[in-house]
Amino acid sequence: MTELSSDNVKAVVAEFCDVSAAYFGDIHVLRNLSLVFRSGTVTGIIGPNGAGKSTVLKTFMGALKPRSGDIRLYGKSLAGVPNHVLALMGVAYVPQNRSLFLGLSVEDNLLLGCWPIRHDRVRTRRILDRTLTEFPMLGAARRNLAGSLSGGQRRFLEIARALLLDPKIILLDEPTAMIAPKFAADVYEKISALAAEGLAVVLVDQNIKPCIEVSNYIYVLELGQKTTEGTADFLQSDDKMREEIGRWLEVSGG
Amino acid sequence: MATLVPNIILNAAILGVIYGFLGLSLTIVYGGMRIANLAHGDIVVAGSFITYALTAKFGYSPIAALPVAFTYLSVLGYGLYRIAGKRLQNSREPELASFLFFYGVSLMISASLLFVFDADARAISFQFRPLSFQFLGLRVPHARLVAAGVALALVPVIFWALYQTIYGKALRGAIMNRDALRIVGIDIDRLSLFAFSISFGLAGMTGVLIALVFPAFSPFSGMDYTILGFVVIVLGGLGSPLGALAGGMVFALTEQLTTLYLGQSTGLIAGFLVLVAVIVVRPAGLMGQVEWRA
Amino acid sequence: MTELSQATAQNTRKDAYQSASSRLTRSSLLIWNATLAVMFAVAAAIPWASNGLSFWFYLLQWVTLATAVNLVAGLVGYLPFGFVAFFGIGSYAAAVLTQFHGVLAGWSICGAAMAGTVLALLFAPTMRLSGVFFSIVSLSLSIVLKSLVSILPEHVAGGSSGVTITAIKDPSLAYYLMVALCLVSLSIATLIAVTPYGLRLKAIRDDAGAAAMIGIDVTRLRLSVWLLSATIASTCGGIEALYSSVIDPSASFNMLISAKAIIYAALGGLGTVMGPLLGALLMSVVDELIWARFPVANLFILGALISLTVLAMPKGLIGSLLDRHPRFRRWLF
Repeated sequence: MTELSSDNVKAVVAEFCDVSAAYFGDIHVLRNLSLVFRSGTVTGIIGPNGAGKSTVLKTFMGALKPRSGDIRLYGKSLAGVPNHVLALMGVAYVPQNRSLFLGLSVEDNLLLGCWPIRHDRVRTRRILDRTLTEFPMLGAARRNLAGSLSGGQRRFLEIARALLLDPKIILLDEPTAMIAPKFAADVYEKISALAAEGLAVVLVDQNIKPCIEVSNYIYVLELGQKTTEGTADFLQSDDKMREEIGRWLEVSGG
Repeated sequence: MATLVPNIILNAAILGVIYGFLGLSLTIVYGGMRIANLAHGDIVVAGSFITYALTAKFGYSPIAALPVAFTYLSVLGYGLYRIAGKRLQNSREPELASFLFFYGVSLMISASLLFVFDADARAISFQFRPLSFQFLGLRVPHARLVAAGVALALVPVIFWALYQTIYGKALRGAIMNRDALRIVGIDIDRLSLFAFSISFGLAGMTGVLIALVFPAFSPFSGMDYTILGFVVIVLGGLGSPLGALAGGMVFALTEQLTTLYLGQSTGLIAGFLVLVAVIVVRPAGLMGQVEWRA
Repeated sequence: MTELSQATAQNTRKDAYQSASSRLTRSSLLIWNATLAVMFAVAAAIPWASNGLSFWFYLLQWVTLATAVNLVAGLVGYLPFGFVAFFGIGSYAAAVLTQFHGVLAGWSICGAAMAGTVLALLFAPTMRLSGVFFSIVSLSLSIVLKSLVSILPEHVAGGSSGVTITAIKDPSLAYYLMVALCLVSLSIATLIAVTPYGLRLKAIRDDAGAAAMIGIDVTRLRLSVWLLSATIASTCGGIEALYSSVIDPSASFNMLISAKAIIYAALGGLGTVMGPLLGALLMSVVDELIWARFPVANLFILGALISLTVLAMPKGLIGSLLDRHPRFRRWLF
């Protein structure tokens, strides 16, 4: 990982400029959304069920085409960029639903993560070895099938695979959903560490409390629209916001 | 009877590999893309007819037909994917749409073969010398031995490619979790195109083996092979290349042994009954892992 | 749930048939019933007007089979590749009863219907399977059945050379039976489309888990459609046996029968009432024209036609039309 000097730590990596998106017809799931994701920053996106939080990430990854507005990476529009090229451009994505090849070994899952540089065998090998030592839990299970791992181990394999090619921005969709609390704590720790290394982290999370704790900047979405934004400290001090959050927690039953 | 059993087992082994190939090439396309290639058997038969043309018209050895069939038919697969692949995959029910589309393709291939070669059943006229070998009290036709040799050589190559190279791993990955391909930066469209070409080429080579082993083939045998291919992959476990080979072996062995003990017409019944039994006991097939597929 | 996610959920289930059943008006139903009545009046008059009865008989047969297979394929979402098993067992039941046991035509058709129902009950456990597993097991069972029938002794089921019915001389009886069966099956399809029964089936097809949660008995409803569809097919097979008077295992259990029924229904539009009718009518005519006009290239042209239609209209004629022009939903279903 390259060391970043303090003056460009907060550089804008990606931004949503007035983005609207829809699944069918006129039912918009994102409305005129403007978001900024900065390097060295954990940007949390919270909101009630159905607010379009995951849709933000899916739209970023090209699964949904914006009806209007623009998504930019380093100031350049992503319109017309094929989905699979994003990995090569430094965008890593860990979706909410499983994204592993469960019938392949841990190492092979990582190997496929190196697909864009597959012709450079030496570099691939080096990256794989580095990752397997960096995540000892995966190193120990390298020959096991991904399907035999526990939920938490799988999550780390997904994160490790997303980090293989030194991405500039990583999108995490509910990274701690359905995994053991011990692993969840590790995940949040890893997220902070990644931001400290200079990565732009975008975190969509249903667990509002830890999300606010780990995030540097928060966007609150409701019905596909941005209702509030600000630093974590600001949101926590805002009474109306706390009341609001309490309401979602009741609705989502947790 | 005593000498028959080893003979049957040898036959079943060769047939098993051929059935396995039928399933293997089908599963690459069906597992990874949800495209049910109903014209698969017709591609196989086209491979047999290419062998027939090369041996009967030009006097080449059937071995020479292997690369020819592979090349011609993978080009056909490439073209078909270019024309229809993307549309079929993007349709709301890719299985149904591809089923219909390839039924049409199957008719077109049968019709073309019918036009060029007439409706009569054909057999390759090439004769290996000597015609058969005698060992351990068995008499094995030379052509069958050649087919076994080719199959024995192909199996390791194919499985090496599928299990050891990054391309093979990507193909198997596509069967397990298509959506994840995009995330790791794989161009699904190009991978599918590649898989389609390989699948068709492999089906063509299977046709060459079939021309060597079976006494005759006609432009309308295609559907039988398509059915066998699907039976084999369902038996072995959808999307598992190793399962396809196992499924082929089990089906062939059942068919051959039943034919030996209970008579000609019972072989196929027993094979299908084994399929039904396996599916009832183990719905994912012999080597399938339902929970490992997205 | 929020307004938005509700709206999205509704939208993902947008489906020609479902919206149709709620939006059908009295007048569109009237028009449809009148159309059916006229069509069947014409069909009933055919024996006097035309001497090519065979074309019309098979036209009706394909309409019936496409409609029957659509009940399973369009409403339950299974592709029964072995659908022909029911047709075949019906053919055999009718032929054996008439020829070997001297049963009157009408009763042997009842026998054919019952044979289909019994077979469908026997095959019912296969409905636990889904997708291609169901299709392949269904196909396998039909092939097993075909082989079993051909190894039965000759005095029981005619063996591999089949049965020739000598007792019935006039095919027009079978023709009228087919007219009646066709009308019955179309009426059943229409009834299903406009009653809550059909709506529940639709719910199951779209999301079986959700349907069970709102109290729909998924297994029983699926079974009922399965039995219905199979019984229509076996009755159809029985009538065909009486009409052609010659049956044998490879013709009665020909996989092409399953394939054609599914293809006709799908080209017209699976899950709609008019689709299978339209598909079967059009394709029978096209088939006939192609065979007459292009004696050499007929098969090729038929194949090309099927493939191109699928690419151009993946949801069939009716389905794709409704996708493009939703305002027709009041009239087409």
